[in-house]
Amino acid sequence: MKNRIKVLRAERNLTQAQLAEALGVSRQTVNAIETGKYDPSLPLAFQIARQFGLTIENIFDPE
Amino acid sequence: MTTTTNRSLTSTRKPLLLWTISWLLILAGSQYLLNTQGDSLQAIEWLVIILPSLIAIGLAKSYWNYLSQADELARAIELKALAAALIAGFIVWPVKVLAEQAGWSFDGWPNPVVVVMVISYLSALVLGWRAYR
Repeated sequence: MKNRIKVLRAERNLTQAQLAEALGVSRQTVNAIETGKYDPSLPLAFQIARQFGLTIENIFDPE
Repeated sequence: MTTTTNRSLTSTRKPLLLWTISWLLILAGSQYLLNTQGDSLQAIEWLVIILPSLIAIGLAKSYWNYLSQADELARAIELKALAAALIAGFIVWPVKVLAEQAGWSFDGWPNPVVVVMVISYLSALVLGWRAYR
């Protein structure tokens, strides 16, 4: 599943570690989601969307 | 930068590692004592037999704590590793039973089923973390 997390993170000058801390997950998890290797659970996807002030559809694209 | 999650994971990984090492050492020590000093151990034989089980309970609790603190990716990788170990066990166990019926002996070896399960679990863990790196 494609996503815009890397772009959104860069726009907000957030590192993977900072985003991970805000989400309560490990940096590896943020990296795996960003690179599309791991699809987050629905609660984590909502958390990511809330973090960026967007909807899930604005961030994730099922292709 | 160390995240809160990484810190809490580290705080559960270290005890898990220590419990695992302790369990392996106690298990190996107990086996060694029973094999070499069996006759002179009668008074404390029960302790040598029970001690690894007590340490294993601590190890299980530590693993439970680790899983409770792990985030969803870590849990997904653990689940796959445990599944790999279970499947390997199901494959190897009947092979061992059939091999023993055919006259093969595994005396003096660590249980080959356990060995294969541990190797499968650790391999799946390493492959899992590498895949999501």
